[in-house]
Amino acid sequence: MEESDRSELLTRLRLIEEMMSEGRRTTQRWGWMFLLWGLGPLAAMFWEDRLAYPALAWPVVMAACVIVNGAVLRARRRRGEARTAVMHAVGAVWGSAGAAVLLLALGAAWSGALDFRALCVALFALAAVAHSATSAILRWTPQFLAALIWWAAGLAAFLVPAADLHLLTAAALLFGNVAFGAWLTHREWSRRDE
Amino acid sequence: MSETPLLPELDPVVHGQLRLAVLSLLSGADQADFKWLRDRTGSTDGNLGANLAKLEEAKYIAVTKKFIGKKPASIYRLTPAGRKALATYVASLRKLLGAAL
Repeated sequence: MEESDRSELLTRLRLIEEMMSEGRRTTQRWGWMFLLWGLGPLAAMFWEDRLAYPALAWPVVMAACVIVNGAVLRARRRRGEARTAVMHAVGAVWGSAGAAVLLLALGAAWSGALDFRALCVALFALAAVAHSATSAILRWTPQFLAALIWWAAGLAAFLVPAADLHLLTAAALLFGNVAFGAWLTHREWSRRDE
Repeated sequence: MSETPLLPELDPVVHGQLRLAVLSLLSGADQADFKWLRDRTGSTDGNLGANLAKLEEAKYIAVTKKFIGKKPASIYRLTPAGRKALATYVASLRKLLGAAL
């Protein structure tokens, strides 16, 4: 084989390796979503507690979060995207957890059949399961720390006085979603050119 | 008399540089749309479209057409035949390079 042929074949082999690695690379950013679903509920809690028309706080803020979430995902799809099996698995986890949260929150608000403490335990546990499953799928320890925060909050929800449940919820949202989302967003932006 | 080692033939459909890049990208990603493939390969719409058609004709990739909002989008994925063709191509490359050493 001539040297030029060999060089050509080596170029092909390198191209395959580079493109396979590029295909597997998850370049999408998800930190904003944790920020949105951390700050959104915190804003709803603040509105319910301090502002006029408290009954509108949760429906309005959650609807706004769903609209923003959908708009960002749609814009991303328009820009072009690839989807790996891992991303599909993570999406399935969060999609299922989101549907369960919606069912519990709406069902509890509509029927009044679930008291606030039980609702907190169930929602915190769901958040913990979603973070934990994602951490296991991605083999990524930092997200397991977020899961631990939500599990600890779930446990604490059994123990704290009823008057402190709102404070516990705010703390769990702040550390489990907002702080994690802010850190993840910072990490994604600082590595965007890698 | 020394025996000449049997060197494998390279699949001409896979061997094209852009087609090889597309197959390799799709072997890493589960599925990808046209824009993503175009951006990653740095090719033009026409060139990529023609090469994707050849891969589709060889049944190495499958395409699903759908709408994102009101805009049509083509989603591509590697077929089992495409995955096998790429694996065979890589094995042949390694064999050829090994024989050249």
